[in-house]
Amino acid sequence: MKNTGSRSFRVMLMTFDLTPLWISLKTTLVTTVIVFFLGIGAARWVMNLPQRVRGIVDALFTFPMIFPPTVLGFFLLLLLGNNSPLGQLLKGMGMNLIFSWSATVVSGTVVAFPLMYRTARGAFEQVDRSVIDVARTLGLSKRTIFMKILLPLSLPGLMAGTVLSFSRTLGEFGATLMIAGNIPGKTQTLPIAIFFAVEGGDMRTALAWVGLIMLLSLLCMVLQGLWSFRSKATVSGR
Amino acid sequence: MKLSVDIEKKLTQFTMNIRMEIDQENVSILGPSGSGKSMALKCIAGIEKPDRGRIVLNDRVLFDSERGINLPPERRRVGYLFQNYALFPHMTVSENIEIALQNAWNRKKRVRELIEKFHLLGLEEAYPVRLSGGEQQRVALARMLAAEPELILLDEPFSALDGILREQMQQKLPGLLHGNNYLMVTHDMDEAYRLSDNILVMENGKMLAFDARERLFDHPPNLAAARILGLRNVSEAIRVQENMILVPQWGCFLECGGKQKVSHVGIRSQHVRISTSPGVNSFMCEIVRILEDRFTATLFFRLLIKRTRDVLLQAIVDKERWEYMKKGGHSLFACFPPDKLLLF
Repeated sequence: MKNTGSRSFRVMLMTFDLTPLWISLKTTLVTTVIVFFLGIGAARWVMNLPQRVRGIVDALFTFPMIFPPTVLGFFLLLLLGNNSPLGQLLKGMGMNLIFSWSATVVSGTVVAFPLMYRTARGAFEQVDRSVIDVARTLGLSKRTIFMKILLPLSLPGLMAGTVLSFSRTLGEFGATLMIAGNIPGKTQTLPIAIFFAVEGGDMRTALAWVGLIMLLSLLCMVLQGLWSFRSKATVSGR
Repeated sequence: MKLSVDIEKKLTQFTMNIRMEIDQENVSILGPSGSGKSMALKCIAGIEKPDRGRIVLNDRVLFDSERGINLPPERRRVGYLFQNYALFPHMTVSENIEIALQNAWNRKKRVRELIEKFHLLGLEEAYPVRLSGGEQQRVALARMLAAEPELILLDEPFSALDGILREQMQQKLPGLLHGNNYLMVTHDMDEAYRLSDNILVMENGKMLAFDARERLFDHPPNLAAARILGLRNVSEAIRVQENMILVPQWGCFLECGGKQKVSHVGIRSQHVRISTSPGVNSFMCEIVRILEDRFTATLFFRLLIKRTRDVLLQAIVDKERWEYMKKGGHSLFACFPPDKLLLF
């Protein structure tokens, strides 16, 4: 009994199609990098806007967070689909976004961006105002202040935002399904693979994927924990 | 250093309005907390923007609302020492200083010089959290000088230090800033007197007085300024004849020079003399309360005069003298020397 069990497990491992994992990892990594820069850039830009405009732009950037992912996916489909002006333009340039791998990155970016933007803004705002003011009176340029003072001092918050974005993208389902679909080996990410495995009654495969996702998320948390521990130690000089 | 300031800014409680000219002197802005004095400093540094006015530093216009000029802080060359020092917490002492250096050459040497000048040897690689308050202040000062400012602003520089350290820094500060004039904000009149040539007195955003420190303390121009400058004994007064005023609240006539009109009279607690024998302007008194310090005692007393209202006056006396008078058991007289009376 035991023997056949382990053997069938080995067979399963050998025949197991790992492409959803690779697709998911590729999508999540690329998306996280894009969202990291986009979120930080947006946060910096919004912070320097005049008070009145700031509220409006802030609401605009936060909207994707409160919409259900399927609704977002629907809007993206309208915006980027073949019948939309933008879709036509992309088609003219020889690109078809909808139902391609790039679409998984687009949906991931839209869904994770507000998280990164929000945490980055929060991290920037909790930096002591007088530290920034004093840097300005010392004659440091805006760029130097941002790169050498604001960024390092908000690093723990930025890292938290990055981990949040990573996990959010890894788990993205609704919007991705709407604009990237479920094409095995091309756009089938882990969460989508789980859904279709369950739907097809293949509980074993689903379970394997679920375990893998949990492991990845756990790893993220541990890495972040270690990192924040280390950064705290440096700032307190020990 | 030459600074000319004439600015106005509306704040929630009141409108701040100051106007002053500074030429090669150290100046303090003295006022109670929340009088708008820090805001004035922030406007000069460019961290806050005044609603109206003009700021000129050494012939450079920093701010002019009419001509639409408002230099950002990074181009003003105005150093600002924050109350909490605002060191960069993620940088070591050397890095904190080095980042403020203006020139690319000789950086290591300049940092080294500043480290030595501000007695920070051995702390080069330490992070700010590990430093004491005094060390943090010296790093902040060194960092400020590294940027070679044309004007130095100090916002309550000693409020975060205590006891001996505070006194030491008050002694050392002018030397550490050698050759640089500063404009300081404080709510402590002794600190203002010790550390400045001229003092500007401020309350609720308004300038009450601006003068050389001795003249200001000896002849405050108005009652509000006098109160901030430490005057405690004040009453309404009426001139009844040449060299004589009536002080209804104290219930007495006081001899005093001149014949100009008066509305109020005041005398500093340090100038009231308590003795066992009568003299000019002296009245029998009864001590109600005593506040003892190490070497002096503040006596709260009431004049023993029928018409007096229930007003407590105060006198600061030498403690040894007070102990001696107390032992005698004689009646006590409070004396208000005519030349020490302040008339308003």
